[in-house]
Amino acid sequence: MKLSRLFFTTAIGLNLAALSDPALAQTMAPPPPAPSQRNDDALAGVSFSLDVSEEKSEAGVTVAGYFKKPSLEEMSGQKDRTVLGWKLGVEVPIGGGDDLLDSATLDQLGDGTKISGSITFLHYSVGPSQLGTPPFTALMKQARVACENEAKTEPERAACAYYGPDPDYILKHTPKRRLAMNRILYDGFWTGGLKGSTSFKRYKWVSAGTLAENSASPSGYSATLWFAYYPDDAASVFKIEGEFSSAPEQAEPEVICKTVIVTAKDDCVSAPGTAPVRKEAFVLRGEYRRFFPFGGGKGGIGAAVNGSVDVISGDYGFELPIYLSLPQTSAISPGIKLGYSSKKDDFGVSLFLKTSFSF
Amino acid sequence: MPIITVKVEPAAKDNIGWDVFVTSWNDSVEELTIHRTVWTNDADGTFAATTANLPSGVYGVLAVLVGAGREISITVEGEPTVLQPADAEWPMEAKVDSAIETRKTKTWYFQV
Repeated sequence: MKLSRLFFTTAIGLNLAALSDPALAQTMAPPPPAPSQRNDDALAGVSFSLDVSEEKSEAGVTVAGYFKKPSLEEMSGQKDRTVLGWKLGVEVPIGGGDDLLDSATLDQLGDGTKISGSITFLHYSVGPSQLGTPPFTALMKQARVACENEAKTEPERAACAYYGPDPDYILKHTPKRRLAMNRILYDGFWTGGLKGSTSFKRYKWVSAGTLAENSASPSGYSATLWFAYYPDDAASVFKIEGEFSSAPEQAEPEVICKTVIVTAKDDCVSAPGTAPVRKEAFVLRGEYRRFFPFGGGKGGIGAAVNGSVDVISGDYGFELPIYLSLPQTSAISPGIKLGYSSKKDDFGVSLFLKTSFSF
Repeated sequence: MPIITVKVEPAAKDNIGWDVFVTSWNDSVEELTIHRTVWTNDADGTFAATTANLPSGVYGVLAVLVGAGREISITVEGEPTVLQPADAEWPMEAKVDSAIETRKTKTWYFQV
């Protein structure tokens, strides 16, 4: 094992997409570990995204809708809700190594385009009656005592009276009771989905001896099944997913020369020397994401431990980003990420300055 | 005998992941009543819930949101004076702060 990285990263992301299920952020290639940021919420309509970072730059467009959502009649009741949505998306790499325009052929969208389709469900219960339970009433009374203890004048003390149960009242006067209150108010809820993707990318390699350039455009594909459970504390989430993928893998660049070398500059190039080889992977991933509040709940520490294993190759990896969220809006959101990949036998530590924790 | 109408404007312009109820409590603040409402929605993505005739008194609007980033704006027709929380003004905003939570419940009390 080697400690190979200690560096600062500043990822700048502009993501206008409101619907992006887990696999969307992944490439077709097998591990490394699961991505750090995911958003499982669904939104109908058309959305556009532009994601620019050190590692990749891509633009995307998605169209989404619902097979099933609550009817107006259901909104009047307190029954469980089940939502079933769909989404179609296209992602196109921009800039970097996967240029939108192939300089030789001006073949637009020739490299790294990805098309995907997914079905997502959301199941949750509606329980406003929990506000009237004795445990919640007890929290209200504790908050009132705290309020009255804080009061310095009789009018302030009188202002501690309340007209009815109010979660914000509890959070204002007894912020440390946030998680206890959440567990009284809420049940856990589920999301999950199935996603299929196919990718199109042009691969190039050079023949030894002649330096003749070859290219091919084999497609890759993947299928992902995932579930996420949000516990009743409203401050954590468990996610699991399984992804099968079959995608070409480009050979590493090497120095390739003509049979007869006159000048190395003209007769040798650095390029892949073989055609891409198709590789299959079946990756299982798990993640636990949790926010630990402090300072009244506006600030805190977020953590997202995740691990993945390719059951075909045996490769595995894990990632543990820890985020510090400051109570006030801050120019920086510092954190540290630990990660290990068995494929490269590489343990990495990175510090980041502006990547916020998010559910 | 007032009729209460609550207008909801979800940021996503759909009725996914949020519920809004009109409530009232008994004098001991321990017995909750959820008043039946009839919902309608407009093409612009706004929703409205209307109660039957109710006795004058103190009522609450209760918003229950599910999922990070969920966001709605609420206005009670006629914009009655808000009793709790103090100094609150219509429209009321409710949002699940995706940086710290996955659900949110908020309530406002007013006199009609």
